[in-house]
Amino acid sequence: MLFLVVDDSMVARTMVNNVLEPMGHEVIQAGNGQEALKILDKLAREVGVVLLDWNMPIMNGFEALQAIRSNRYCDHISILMVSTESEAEYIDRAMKAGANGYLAKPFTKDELIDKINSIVQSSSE
Amino acid sequence: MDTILLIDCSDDVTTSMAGLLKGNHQVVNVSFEDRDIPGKNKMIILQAHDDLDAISKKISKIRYECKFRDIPIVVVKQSEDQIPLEYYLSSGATEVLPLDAPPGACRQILQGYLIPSRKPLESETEYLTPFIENTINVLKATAQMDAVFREVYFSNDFRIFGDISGIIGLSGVSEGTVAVTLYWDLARKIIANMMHVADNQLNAEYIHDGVGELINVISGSTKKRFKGTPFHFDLSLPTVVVGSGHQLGHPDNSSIAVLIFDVAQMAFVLQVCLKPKQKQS
Repeated sequence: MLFLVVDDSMVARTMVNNVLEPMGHEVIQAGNGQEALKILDKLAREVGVVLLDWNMPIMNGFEALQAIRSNRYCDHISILMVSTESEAEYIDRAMKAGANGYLAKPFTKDELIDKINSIVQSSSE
Repeated sequence: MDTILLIDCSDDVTTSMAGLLKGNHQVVNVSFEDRDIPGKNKMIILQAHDDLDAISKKISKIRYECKFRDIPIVVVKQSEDQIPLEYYLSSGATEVLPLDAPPGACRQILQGYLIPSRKPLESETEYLTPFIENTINVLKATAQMDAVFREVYFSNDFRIFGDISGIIGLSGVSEGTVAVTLYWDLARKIIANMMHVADNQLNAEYIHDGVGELINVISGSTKKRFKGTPFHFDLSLPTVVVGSGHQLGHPDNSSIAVLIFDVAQMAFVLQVCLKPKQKQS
């Protein structure tokens, strides 16, 4: 499956990449919400899952989430929010706006793998 | 009895310092090569000499060996020494004393550095404890490293000796700053572990970016612990500063809690400066 990993931290993106690729997934990366939307303009059909950080410059993850969910070409895409913002109201807002899951930083490699497996499984059903 | 360690000092300077520091202190003069672990000492005094490069390297080495402990390093110099104070201070010295300064003033300055750091107040412990616990959790979860909190001291000095810092501004119900400072070797090790790669696969850009992510995750995960308290805050985006002896900006008139952690036989610090906003009358 093709994953779009959106985070302003190159280290955070690479860390997720280094977990996803050994699982057999392909990964493309974006540094903010705006970059992610540009990629989805071209590759919406191919992308299966978007991992979105919340706090990013230019366009934050919540704005990107709303934009993706308002794009009918992205209906099939599962969105996992991956953020340090882990208070209940942030999670509620994201889920109500159409996120399929939420993973609070910090997380272990195993927690990331579990969350990815669960989101891949539900997106293939 | 506390030890004041004199390094490479002449007999005259040793006698003079012993006279100024008499009291409950043992004053010991050793050569640089024979120095003990500086962390055991209450103060370290070096005598400046003509080889500026050598003295600068000695100060930096000792400052590194102090592992961020609040140990004053005092350089005593000849009055005709025209080297700017900043030269010694930027290497890691705390104070520079001319040998011909009035003994009363010297004694007062030296005794000032021997006053023990205050203990955290109850209200400070309330917000420092979540930062300590979350820093340990973050290191464990993301870098698979066991950090141990060692001690806290309070500082009003913006200078911190380390190679790289990540700093994040806090605003909202409470405001302030939180910063993590590390030496390069430990930063490399932590970021490599976070990324699941070998240390030698990292370039400076990754370390720079990773230290920003580290302070972001520490601050963000601590934030939710303050929900509904006067210490709650919102996060800005992190900034990273590189260079030994760099200065970090914290809000005015705030004391900075310097939390020291040990990990992998090295040390790093978290500086926390957090103040609930004053209510408007």
